[in-house]
Amino acid sequence: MNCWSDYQTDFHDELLDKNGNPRLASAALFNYLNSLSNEDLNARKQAADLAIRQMGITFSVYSEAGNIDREWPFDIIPRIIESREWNQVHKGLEQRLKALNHFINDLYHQQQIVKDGIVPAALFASSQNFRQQCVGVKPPHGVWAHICGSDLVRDSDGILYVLEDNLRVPSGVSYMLENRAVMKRTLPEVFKECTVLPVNDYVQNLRQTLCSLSDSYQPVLCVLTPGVFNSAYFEHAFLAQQLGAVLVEGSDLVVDDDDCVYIRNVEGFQKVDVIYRRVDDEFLDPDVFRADSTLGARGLMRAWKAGKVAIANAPGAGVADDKVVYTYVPDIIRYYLNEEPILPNVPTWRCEDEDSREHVLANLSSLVVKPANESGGYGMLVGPHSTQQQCEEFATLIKQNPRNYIAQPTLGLSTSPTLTEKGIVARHVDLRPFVLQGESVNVTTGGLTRVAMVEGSLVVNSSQGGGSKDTWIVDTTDRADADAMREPEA
Amino acid sequence: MLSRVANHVYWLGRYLERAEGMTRTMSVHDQMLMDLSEFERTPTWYQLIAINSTEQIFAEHFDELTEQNVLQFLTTSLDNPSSIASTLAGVRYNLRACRSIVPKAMYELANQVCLEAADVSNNNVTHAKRRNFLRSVELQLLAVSGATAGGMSRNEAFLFMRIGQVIERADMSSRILDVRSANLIRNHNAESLTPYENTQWVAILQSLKAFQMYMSETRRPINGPEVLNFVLKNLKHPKSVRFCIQRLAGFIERLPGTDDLQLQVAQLLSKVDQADVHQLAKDQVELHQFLDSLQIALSQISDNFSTHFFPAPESVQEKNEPANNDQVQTQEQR
Repeated sequence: MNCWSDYQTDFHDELLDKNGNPRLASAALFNYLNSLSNEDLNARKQAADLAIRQMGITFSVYSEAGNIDREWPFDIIPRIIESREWNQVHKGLEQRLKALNHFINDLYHQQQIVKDGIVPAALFASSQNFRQQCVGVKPPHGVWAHICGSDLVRDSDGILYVLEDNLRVPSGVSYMLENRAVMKRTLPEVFKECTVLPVNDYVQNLRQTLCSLSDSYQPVLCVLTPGVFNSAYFEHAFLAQQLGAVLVEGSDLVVDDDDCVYIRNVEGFQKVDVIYRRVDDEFLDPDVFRADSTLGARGLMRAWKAGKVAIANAPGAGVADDKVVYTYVPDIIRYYLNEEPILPNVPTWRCEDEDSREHVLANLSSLVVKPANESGGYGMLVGPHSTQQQCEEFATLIKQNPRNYIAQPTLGLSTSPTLTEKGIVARHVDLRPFVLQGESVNVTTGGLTRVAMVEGSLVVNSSQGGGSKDTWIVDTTDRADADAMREPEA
Repeated sequence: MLSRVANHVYWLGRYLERAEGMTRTMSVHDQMLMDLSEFERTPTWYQLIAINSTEQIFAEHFDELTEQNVLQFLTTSLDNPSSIASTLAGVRYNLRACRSIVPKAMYELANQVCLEAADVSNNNVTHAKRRNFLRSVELQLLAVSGATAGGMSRNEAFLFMRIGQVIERADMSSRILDVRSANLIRNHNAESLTPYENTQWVAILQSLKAFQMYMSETRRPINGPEVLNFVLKNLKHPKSVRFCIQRLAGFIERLPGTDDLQLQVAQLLSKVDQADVHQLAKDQVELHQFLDSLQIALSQISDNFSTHFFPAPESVQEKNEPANNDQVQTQEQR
């Protein structure tokens, strides 16, 4: 039986067009999967699961019984994007991060954008992530957010929108890299049939980005992790290993009287040049932020301000990781770069604006409401999937603290074919590319595709039952040219 | 290398060696039992409990000394800190903290053996499956050694792992000698070994996977003093106590500020050199005391080594979660 015969979706599909035929870039995969029996397909799935188990690709889930390591959830059918489309997205993401870094740097210095009336002063004054302690600091290249994970979604109109920008400690890139490694073991035959662009230049780009933050010829890099019990510890260890960085915990770091940061080595102390921190701002330095923090190091902010160590992402970078700031990003791009935004935002209502608030409160059952500073998919209201009572609770929350909420239309998130117990079925997906900025700007080739494994669900977070896919940027230039040449005859 | 990580690497080396030693010993024992009458089997299984001085823990958890109980205690029981399951849990715990510094292939192989062992239920300890299980774990641990030797730079991390390994190995060899020789010497008759005694001396060498090398090197019939001499003093075999301590001395020498430790190791070395194997082979009490003193000396060296290099003595051997676990958890990563 044809594994696609029952495939159905009411949304834009990443692999198939509206007639159920494969798109140009997915034809080879489609045909190959067609040649496999259901047993073959399931055998491939089991092989992929086994590979993930053996490679120790895990994430941790917190539960009352303690932390549990779970195997990373992976779907063997990749999500495919044509390279022609990706080139545009790529430019849009570069543009976006450059503008955001101008914005953060401006906020911590002259605040020209506020003086020019583009964004209101109240915006950052009320932002939970604006750090007074960072005012006036000059990080290398004027860059604050070195690693950005932007979430992209495709609506029913087929357009990719930016849903949010994660500028604090975005995670997932190790899974993007490992998904490809698993994919190569799972469906090696398809790689021969189509040109899948490689993803593994990310590690070199990250290393280059981090090194560009130091004047040292051979800078000592560290990855600062909250510890082995953190949900993303796998990623921290993976990146340290790949980067050749030292994986440290706060207690391994010492800031000396010379304002330099040192690690406690077997043979004594060694000076650190760049810290890629995976610890939130408020835990970085008990002298400056939360006094009870045991995850950071005393004096770290002092060392950073003195320019003796680079921290990526810089403290305070999270100020632009705010869903209200998000609504201003198109204006921010125009203001600093004098360019039109390449990637569109999802239309968004700011609840603090009275007119918008009225609209949101009147249409809660059809909107998605998000708190400005939460992440991981927590504290949200998905109107169409909520009860009357939940909507009323949110109405109260919004009225109490309008600054803390934004609302967006419920998107018709695109689907991508996914292997489940019911065979190949349509599931909603998003995409998280990673953008790097140091001396120069880089974007991953594709990114991490997350998939909501439950039928109809829009929740893609791995902590809440989401899965993931390998993301293929497929170069179709040759085939597209060939098609174009054939067209006149047709 | 970070001091904290050095501590984990050291214990990773020890646990890997302990797991290998335990599996090997059980595997050899299993083979040996088939040459003994049923009447004698269970008491000799108990020897394996004695090797790791875990008699008391066994008594706390089991009423009867049946083969099934002993095997469960030695393989899958997490109450027994020396069981295969426990030692592999120790491997996995320390491996996690060392993940960024050990070769990827080594991580994957070690991770795999830990996962497989964790899946083995108590039912699988029965005879036919038991042999496959032990064999499989043993081979996988050998693969881990290979991936380490072939893929890891001879850096500090490697040195610390090797130090853990040779200390554990010397300790294991002396324990095996101690327990296995106990009921041999009791019926000592130097001139004619009974077939069973012969089997057990062979078992000592086999427990150390040293039988073949012993035969080719000594070219003498199996006898107590020769076996003792080989296991204690041989200069070429990697499982001999002398060989391990010699290595340990070489490793410690490469580390700065270790004068006191070097002296301690040198003293232990000469103690082994001066041991009179003919006398020890005759007198069980003396042999036991001698081996006991070796183990104590090794444990003191390990303690002093840890105090010297891991100044904030976090007991990584205990699988305690850190006190700031709540904070670690609030650091949700997106």
